[in-house]
Amino acid sequence: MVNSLKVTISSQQQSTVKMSSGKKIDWKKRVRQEYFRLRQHKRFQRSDNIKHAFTKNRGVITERANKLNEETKFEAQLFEKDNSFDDDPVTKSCVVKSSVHSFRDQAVPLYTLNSVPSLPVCYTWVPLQQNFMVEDETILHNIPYMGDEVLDEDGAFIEELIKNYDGKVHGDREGDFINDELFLELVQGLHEISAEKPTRKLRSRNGASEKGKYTDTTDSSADEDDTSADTDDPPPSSPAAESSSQESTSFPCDEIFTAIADLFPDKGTVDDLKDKYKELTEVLDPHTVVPDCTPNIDGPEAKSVPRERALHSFHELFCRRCYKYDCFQHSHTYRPPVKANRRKTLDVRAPSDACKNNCFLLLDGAKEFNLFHSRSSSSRQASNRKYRPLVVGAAGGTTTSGSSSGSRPSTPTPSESETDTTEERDSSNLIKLEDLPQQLRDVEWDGAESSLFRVLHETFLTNFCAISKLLKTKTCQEVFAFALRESSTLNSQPGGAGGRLSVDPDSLEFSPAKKKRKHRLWSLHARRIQQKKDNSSSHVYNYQPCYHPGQPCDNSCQCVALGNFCEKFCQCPSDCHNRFPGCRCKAQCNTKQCPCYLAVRECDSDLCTHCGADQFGENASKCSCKNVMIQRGMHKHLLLAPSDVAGWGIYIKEDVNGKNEFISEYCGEIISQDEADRRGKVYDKYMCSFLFNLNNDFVVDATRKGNKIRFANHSVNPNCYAKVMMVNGDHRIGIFSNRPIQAGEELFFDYRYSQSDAMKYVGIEREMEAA
Amino acid sequence: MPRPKKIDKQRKEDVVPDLRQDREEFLRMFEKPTQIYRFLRARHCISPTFLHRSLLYMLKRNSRTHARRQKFKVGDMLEACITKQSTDKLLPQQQYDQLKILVLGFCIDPGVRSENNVGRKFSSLETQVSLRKTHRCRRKDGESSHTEELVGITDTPINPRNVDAYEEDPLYLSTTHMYQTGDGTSVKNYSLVFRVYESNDNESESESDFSDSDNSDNWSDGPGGRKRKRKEDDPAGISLKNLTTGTRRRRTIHDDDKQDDDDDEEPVNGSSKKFKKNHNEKSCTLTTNAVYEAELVMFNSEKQLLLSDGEYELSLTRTKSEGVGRKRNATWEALDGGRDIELLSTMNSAPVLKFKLCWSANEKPGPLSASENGDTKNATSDEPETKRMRRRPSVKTNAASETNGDTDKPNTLPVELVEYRKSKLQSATFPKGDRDEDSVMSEDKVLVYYQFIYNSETQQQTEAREDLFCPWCQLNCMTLYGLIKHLKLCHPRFNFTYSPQQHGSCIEVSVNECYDGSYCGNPQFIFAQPGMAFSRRGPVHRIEVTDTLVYRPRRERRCANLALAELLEKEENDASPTAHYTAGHHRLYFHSRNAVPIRPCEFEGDSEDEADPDWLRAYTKRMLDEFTDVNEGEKPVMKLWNLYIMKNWWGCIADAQLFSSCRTFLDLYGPLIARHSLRNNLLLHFVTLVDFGVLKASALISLMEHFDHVASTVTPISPKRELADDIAQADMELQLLPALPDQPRAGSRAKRVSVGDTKMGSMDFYEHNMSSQVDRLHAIINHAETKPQSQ
Repeated sequence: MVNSLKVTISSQQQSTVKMSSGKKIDWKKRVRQEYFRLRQHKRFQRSDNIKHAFTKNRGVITERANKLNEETKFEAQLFEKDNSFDDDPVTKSCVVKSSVHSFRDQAVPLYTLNSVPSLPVCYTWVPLQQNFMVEDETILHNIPYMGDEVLDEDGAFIEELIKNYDGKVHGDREGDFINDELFLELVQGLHEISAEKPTRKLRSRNGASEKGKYTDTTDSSADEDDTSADTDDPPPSSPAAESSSQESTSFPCDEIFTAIADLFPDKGTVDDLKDKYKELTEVLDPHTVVPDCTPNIDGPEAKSVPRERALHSFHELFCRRCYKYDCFQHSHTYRPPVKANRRKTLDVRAPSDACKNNCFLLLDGAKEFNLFHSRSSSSRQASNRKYRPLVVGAAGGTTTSGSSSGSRPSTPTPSESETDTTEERDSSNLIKLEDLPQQLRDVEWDGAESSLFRVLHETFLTNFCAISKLLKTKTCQEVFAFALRESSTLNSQPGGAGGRLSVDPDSLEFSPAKKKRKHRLWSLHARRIQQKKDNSSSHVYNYQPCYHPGQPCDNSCQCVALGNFCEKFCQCPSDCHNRFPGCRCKAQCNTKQCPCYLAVRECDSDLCTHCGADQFGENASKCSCKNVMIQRGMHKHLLLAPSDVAGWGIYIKEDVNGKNEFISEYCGEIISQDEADRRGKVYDKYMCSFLFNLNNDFVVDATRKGNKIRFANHSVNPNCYAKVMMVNGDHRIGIFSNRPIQAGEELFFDYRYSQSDAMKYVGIEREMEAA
Repeated sequence: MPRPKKIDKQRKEDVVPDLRQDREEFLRMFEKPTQIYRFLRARHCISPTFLHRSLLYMLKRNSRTHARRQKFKVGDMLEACITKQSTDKLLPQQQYDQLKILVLGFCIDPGVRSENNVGRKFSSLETQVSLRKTHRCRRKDGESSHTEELVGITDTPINPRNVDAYEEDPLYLSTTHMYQTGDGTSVKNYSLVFRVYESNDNESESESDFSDSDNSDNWSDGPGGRKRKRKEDDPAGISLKNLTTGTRRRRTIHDDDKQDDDDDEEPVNGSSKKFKKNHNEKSCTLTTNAVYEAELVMFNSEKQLLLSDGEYELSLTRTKSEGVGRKRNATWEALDGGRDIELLSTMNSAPVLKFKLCWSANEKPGPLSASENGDTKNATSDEPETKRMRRRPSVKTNAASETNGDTDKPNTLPVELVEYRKSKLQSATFPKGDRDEDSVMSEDKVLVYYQFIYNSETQQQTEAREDLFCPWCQLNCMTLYGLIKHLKLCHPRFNFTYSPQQHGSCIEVSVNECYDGSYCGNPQFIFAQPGMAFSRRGPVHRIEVTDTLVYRPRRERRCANLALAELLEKEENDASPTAHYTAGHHRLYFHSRNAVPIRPCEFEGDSEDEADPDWLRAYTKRMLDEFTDVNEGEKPVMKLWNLYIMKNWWGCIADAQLFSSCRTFLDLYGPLIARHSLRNNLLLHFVTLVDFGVLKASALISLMEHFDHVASTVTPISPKRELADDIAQADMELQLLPALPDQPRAGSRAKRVSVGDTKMGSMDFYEHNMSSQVDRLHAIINHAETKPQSQ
C-alpha cells in the first residue's frame, strides 16, 4: 500500500514541480522553513499556555486570598498587646512645621516601633507527613543560583552539573531537536504544501485526491478506515477545507522524508522516518482511541467483559501497602493481587438455606449442585478455586479442570484431577442449564451485570444469594441460571488450561497452619534475628514484596537475598519461613526484649497482637505498645524559630520525659542514590543539605518536600538521634530523644557527618551566624 | 547648657593636657545608658509599669497608711459619694459673688514663638477679659446666641520673669446676678473670654534673642525664666544633662501631675470634690485685632460653678482673622489609649495665658479653699480631667510656683520637681501632715558623692549631691537606703558600690559590662503593630510569657530599719536566681510554611501536621485524571477513596482496620456515590480490596448492605458534570491547585496501565501517548488549513 501510494503522489508531485516552474523545489530549505515555522508556532502556543495558566493561577490566588480574608475577618485575633503596653508611651511629639505661614503645625505623637530582628533565610518547601517518592530527574531543571560571585568564579561547577545530567537542561530546545509530535506536524505541514501545489497549478486536485483515495481503499482496509474516519469527522466548514483534509490523509512524498532525514541525521534513515510516520498516523484514528479503556460499568455503554478487564484499573492502580490508588510511594512496585492472599478473606460459604421464597436452592437439583461444590471446595480449600465454580455442569466425561479463565493459568495437580474424576460421577447428574425453567434462561443480562457477575462469582463462588444481593438487580435464581450459562459457554471453548504442570504452586500453601509449628517457627525467628543482628552489615536494603510464584522464599527470593523479612505484602504464603512473625510482648516493646524492637522494626498491627499494636480508635488506650509511633504519626508538637546555632531551628513545645521517646518522623522526597548524588552536588555548594540516607537504595531529601523536623540542626552533643526503622514494609526515619528534653528546647541530632563534612556545614554556618 | 563644672579629677600624671579627651571618654562610657534611663524615666512618667511607692525600700514615699483599709467597707464608698454630692449641691452658693482675676503673664512657648511672628514683636500685651453669656435657644437647630460683657482690660507681660510683680492689677467680676436663675433670663451658661491684644509699642524687638536661646540656653530665658535653684544641687544631673544632647524633649505637666496622682495621691480620699471643668475654646467672634483668644466656662447650664481658686494656665488660640477655612485644616490625630494627645500638645505648642482666680466676698475665703483646706492635693488630683488647662494649686510658697513656672520649658521637666514641690508644699502647708516630712528634712543634709569610674577603672569623676534624688530619674528616694536600692535595682546598666564616708556616703558608679540588654518581654509585642491594638474584640488567647519575674529572696521579716549595712557586703553572698525557669518562654515562633509569627490564638494547634495538605489532595486527583484508560466511573471512586484515606490515614494503618474505615467512607461519601450512581464501581473497588486480601468477603456483603442503606435516602441524578464539583465539595476545603494545561502523562506511568496485559509492547504505549494528542493535532491541521484560505 505504501508503495503504491508513494508512487502516485510522487509522480504527481514530480509532474507538479516540472509544470509549475521548471526548477526543482528545494525540499531541504522548505523543510527547514516549515520546521522553524512550527517551532515558532509551538513557542507562541506555549507562551500562550503559560499566560493562560498564569492568569488562571492569579484567579485562584485572589479567590483564595479573599476567602482567607473572609475567614480572618471574623476570628481574627490580631497581635494582642499587654495591658501595661496598652497605651504606648509617647515620649515625643513629632511636629511638622509648614513653611507656609497660614498652615498650622501638624503634630503626631511619636511612637517608638520595636526593632524587629531579621529572620534567617528560608526557602520555600512543601509540607508532607509521609515520604514521597519521586523519579530521577534526567534533565537539569534549573541552574541553581548561588549569588553572582559563585557564578563568576566557579563556572566550572555549573559545567560539571550539566555534565551530570548528560548535558540535558530543561527547556533547552535549541539545536536539532525534534520530537514525535513536532515530526508529525512537520510532515503534515510539508505535505499540505506539496499537495497544495497541484491544486493550484494543475486544477486536478479532485482527481488526484480521488485517485489517492482509490488506491487507499483498494490497498488497505486500515487506511480506508483512516480516511473514512477522517472524513466522517466533524467536517471543516468549507468543502475546500474538507477536500484538503482528505488530501492530507494521503501519504506524503519521499522528498519530504529525505529532506528531513538530511536535516536531522540522528533521527534515522528515510525508511525509519516513514515507518514512524505511518505508525504515528495510524494511532491517530479517533475511533480507536483508548482501546483498552474498559467502559464505565455504571455507564450506559457498559460492556460485558471478563473479570480481569472489569477490575483491571482497580487492580493495576491499587497499592496494597498504602491502600490507595496510584500512591506516591510505591507506584513502581505494584503487583496485581495473587490468589493466595484470598484464602483467608473468602469466608463466605455456600448457602445452605434458602434466602427467600424463590431462592435458587429451591430449584430442582440446585441443592445438590451447591452441596457438591461446597464439599469439593472445602475439601481442597482454596486451591484452584479459580476455576472451580466453572466446572459447573461438567458436560462430557473429560476432566474439565483445565478450563481456564483469564490470564493466569491454573495448574491442577494430578491428585486434583483424580478427585475431579471421582467427582465426575456425582457431577454428571448435576443440574444443567437446560433443566432450568425457560423464563430464567431468557432473562436479559446487560453488560454491567454480566461483568459484575463474573467479578463476584470468583469471590463468592456458588453463593448466588450473596451475588444477587450484591447485584441487586437480579434474583438469585436468575444468577444461578446465568452462572450455568456462563459455565456452559466456557466449557464449550476448546483448549482450557495451558497444560498441567506437575507442580501446583498453590498446593504448597495448602499445608494447614498448625499451632505447634508456628511456635517452633517463632523461636527460630528469635534466633535468626539475633543472628542477623550479629552479622549486621551496615547495609540495609529497600524492601520490595517478593513475587516468585511456585518458589519458596529461598536464596533466589529477593527478600532473602537482601536480608529483609518477608512482609504481609509479599506474595509468598503466609507461613513462609522468611516472614517476620511479630512480637508477643505484653509490655511496651521498647526494649531489646521485644523482637520487633531488636530488629529495628515497628510492631506490625496485623502481627503483634499482644502488645496492643492492633488496637485502634477508641481502643487505642489499650495499646501499651510504644513501638508504633511512626506509623501512627504520634509526633510531638514542634515549633519553628530562628536557631540559637545557625539559621532556623526547631523547638519542642512540650516536655519530653525520657530517653527514646518519639519526636517526629523525618519526611521528604525519596530519591535514588544516584539522584541524591546529583542533588548533593548542588546542596554541598549551598552548604545546606537535607539529604538523609534511608537505605542502600534510597535517600530521603527534605529540601523540597518535608516536615518541620527538617529544621533540626546538627550537633555533636545532641538531644535527639535518628533511627531508620522498618515500618510496615517501608523504611522510615524516626527522630527520638536522647535524654529528657524540656519544653522550649531546640532539637539537635547528629547528622553523622564525617569529620570534614561537619566542619564544612556546621562550622561555616556558625561563622556566618556570628558575622 | 552650662558646662558642668569639672569636678575633682583625681588623675595620676596627665593632669592638664587632655581634659577634653577625658571628657569624651567619660561621655562615651556613660552617655548611652544615661540616655536610656532618661528615656525610661520619661516613659515611666507617662505610663508607669509600677509605682515606686509600693516598693519596700521606698516605704517612705508611701504617704498613706493602711489603717483605713482595715476598716474599709464597700458601703463607705457609696456614702462618700453621697456626701460629696450633697456638699456639691451646697457649695456653689452665692456666698462668693466676686471673682478676682489676676492676669499674671502671657507665655509664648519658644517653639511657637519663633514660628508665629506675632508674639515676638510685643513686649507687652493687653488682655481683655469679658464675660460671655450663652443664651438658651428656643429652636433646636438655631445657633445659640452670645452676649459679651467686658470685664476689664489689663496689661500683660510677655514671658514674665517674675510673676509676683504683676499682682497689683486685678480685675473684679461680680457674679451675683449669675446665680439668679428663675428670672426668665435664658442664659445657659457663663464663660470667661480672654483675649490678648497687641499693643503696638516695642515692635523693634529683635528676634534673635529668642531663636538663639532656644537651642542653647533656653532654660535661662524661658517663660518665667529664673535660674533654677536646683541646678546647682544636681551634680549628676548637670553632667548627665550634658550627655543627653539632642534628646531634649517636651513633656507636659499633665503627665507629671498624673504621675503624681498615681504616686502620691490616695484614691481612698474619696471625699474630695469633683469639679468638672468644661473649658472649651471657641473662636466664633472675629475681633479684628484680637490676637489670641480663649474661653473658660464659669457656670455650666446647671448653674454649677466650675472654677475654683487657683492659678490657671490657659492655652490660647490665634483668632483667625484671615478667614474661616483655616479651621478645617487637617490635623493629625492619634489615639493613644483614650488620651487625646492633640489636646495635650496644645499645652506645649500654644501660647499660654497665666492668671489667677480668687473668689472673694466680704473677706471670706474662696469657696473652695475651705474644702481644700484639708488637702490641696485634691485640686491637682482632678487634673487628669483637664486637658488644656492647668491649674496650679493655690499655693503661697514661692518655691512651688517658681518650679511650676518652669514646667513649660522643654528641657527641664523632671517629674520630681513637681514631686519635690509637693513634698515641700506639704511640709510647708500642712506641718502636721505626713510623716515623711521630717525625714525629708533630715536627710536633706546628707551628702552623696557619686564617683564615676571609667576608662577601665583608671579614671574617676566625682560629683557631689546634697539630696537623695536619683540622678537619672530624679526620683526622690527619701532615704539613703532607698536611693542605693533604687540605683541598684532600677539601673542595672551600672554597677553601684556603696561605701560610707565621713561626711556622707560614697557611691561608685561604673558601667556594668555584663548587662544583658536583650529584649526579654513578650516576643509577640515586637511584632505587634501599634495600629492593631485597637482591633481587639472580646477575650483573646495569650501565650504564656513571663513578664515580671518575681523573686523573693529570704529576708528578715520587716527588718524595719532597712539597714545600710546590708548594702555593704551584699556583693558576694547575693544568691541571684540564675536558674532558667522555663526555656523557650520568650521565643517567638513562626509558621513553618511562610515564616509568619504564630499568633497566640494559633499557638495550641499544630497547624502544619495535616497529612493531606492542599497540594497533595490536588496532586492525587490530577494524577488519576491523567490516566487515559481509567474510565469515568472508576476515577471518581478512586479519587474519593484516596482523599478519604489521606484524610483519615490513621484509619488505614493495618489491614484489620480497613473494614471500619470502609464503613466510615460509606457514611461520608456513600450519598455522593449513590447520587452519581456509581454503585457498581464502588462494588468493584471493594472487590479489589477483597482480592488484595485486606477485606473479607463477608465484610464486602455487609458493606454493600450498608451502602444500600445509605443510598436509599438519596435519589440518583445523572449529570456527569457535577461529579467533579461534588468531589471537590466533598473535599471539604475545595482548594485546588491550579490545573495545568491538559497533557497526558507520558512515560512509564501511562505505560504501566495502558493495556491489560502486563507484557505490553512499546508499540501500544506509543499508541497511547499519541492518541491523546489527537485533538491537538486536529486543531493544528485546521489551523494549517485555514491559513491558505485567508491568503
